[in-house]
Amino acid sequence: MKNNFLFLLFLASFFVIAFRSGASANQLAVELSSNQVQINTGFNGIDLLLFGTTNGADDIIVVIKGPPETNLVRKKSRVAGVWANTEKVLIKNTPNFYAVAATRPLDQISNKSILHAHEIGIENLSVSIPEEKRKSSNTTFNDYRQALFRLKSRLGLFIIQPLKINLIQNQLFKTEIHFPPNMSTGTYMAQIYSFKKGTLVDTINKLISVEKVGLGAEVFGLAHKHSALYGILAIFIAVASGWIAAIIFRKV
Amino acid sequence: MHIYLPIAEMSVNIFLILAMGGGVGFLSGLFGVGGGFLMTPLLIFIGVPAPVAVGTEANQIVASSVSGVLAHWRRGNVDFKMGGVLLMGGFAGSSAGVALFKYLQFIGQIDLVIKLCFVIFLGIIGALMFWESIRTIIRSRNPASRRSKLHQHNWLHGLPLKVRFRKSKLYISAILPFSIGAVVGVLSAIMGVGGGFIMIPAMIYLLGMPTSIVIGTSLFQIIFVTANVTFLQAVTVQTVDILLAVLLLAGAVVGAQFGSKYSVRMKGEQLRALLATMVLGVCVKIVFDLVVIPVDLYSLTPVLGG
Repeated sequence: MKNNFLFLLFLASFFVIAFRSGASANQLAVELSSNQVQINTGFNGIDLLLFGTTNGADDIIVVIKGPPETNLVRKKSRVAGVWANTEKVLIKNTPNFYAVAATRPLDQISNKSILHAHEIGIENLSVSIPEEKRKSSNTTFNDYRQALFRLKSRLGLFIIQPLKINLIQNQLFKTEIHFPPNMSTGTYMAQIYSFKKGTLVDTINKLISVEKVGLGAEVFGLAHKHSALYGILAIFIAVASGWIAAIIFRKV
Repeated sequence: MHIYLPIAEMSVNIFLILAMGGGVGFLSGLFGVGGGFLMTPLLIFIGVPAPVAVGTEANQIVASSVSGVLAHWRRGNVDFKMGGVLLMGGFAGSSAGVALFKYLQFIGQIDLVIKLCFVIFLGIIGALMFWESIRTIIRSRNPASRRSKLHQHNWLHGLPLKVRFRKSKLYISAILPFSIGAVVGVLSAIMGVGGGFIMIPAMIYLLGMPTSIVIGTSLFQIIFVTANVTFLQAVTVQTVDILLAVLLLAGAVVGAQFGSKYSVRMKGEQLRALLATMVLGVCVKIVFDLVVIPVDLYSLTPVLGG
């Protein structure tokens, strides 16, 4: 049902663009299957469909970024036979989620400086690592940066390999992005770029808001805003259920 | 079927959690132990962040101890006076333990310390229990061997602040149970366990309490110590996941009933040998994880408010 509706929307936008006369060249129009993600108790990740039209662009790139976060990346080394955290680096301003989708490999679409300027592609993502924390160890900051990307990708939060975008007759395109269940809440941004002969011709931004709803949201809110009450509630639930269990099984 | 855990911030299979609760509940019913020493490592193995595993497991132990203590209470097997002194120590110890937990988390060594604590205590208790049960099994085949005294008097009985514990038939210094309570309290906060596996041997061998009231009294004080840990973890680090605790609990309650029915069919020393083997097994697994080269030398900790 929902998919049928999306398909109709998709077709409708196609006709609007196809029969539009004298429209300014390369103008992008983009829609998302949803711009509001709700994390409820049954949440197990979500696939968002992004589709749009362009007027004769050669290539489309979509970059999706989650809200910024700060990470402490720790490195283990062997201490007295066991592996213990011995070094750490604070990496600020990394997006919580990062994915790229493109019609072709990124380096074939445009040149390095354009990609770098727009932080397109994981290697062009700027992360700030404080210089003063440089230690005598031979670990370089690039190692930490690579470790961050690797660990985030293992969590499903960074998509290292660009996803595929289908561009039909240089007019219609769509792509699907999977968000894992451990995605964080906040505002995500989808940045859509259209290229013609390697030059950036148009760009458009779409926002996606991700929030917790229902029982889970209330539990989380209570735990963080009224943590003393939450603690008492947790104990009360435990005592009550332990007591009830004892009564039930006494009669069995 | 998946369920999203609001505090652990992950999606888990609801049946996996129920099965884990049931399995550990079965073992705890079978052996008469809390099961925290198995559940906390298991939760960490399936990807629950270590602090959430510890905080949530403390919450679950409150429930299983309440349900366990009622049966012992009805039979009059709880020494409330002794339990009171133990839990005063437990309050002090677990409060200090939660503060220590927070500090260790800050300096990035909490995972290591949790694992080292498990290795040390599971190793010692497992080895002692194993040795003890093997000796009993051998002795039962050779009935001519001598029996040891009920309990020995040593320097510990010379400490001041002596109190009479009528139910335990003891006249000993209150400092002793207080200190035991405090030490177990610290471990309870750091390891997310009730601490029965340390408390019970300490009560029997150090205090010389009669074995009949040891389990009930231990459960009685575990309720309050784990409740204190739950409360303090909820307030200081917000790592108690009520939803996860309720799921584990539902499985554990059912599992424990089957376990306790099954335990009647087995001999005490055989049970102890089996439990000792399992304790040592968990211990070896953790040692292995600590010593073998990790999958990734790097690890990630999101910084809140960063």
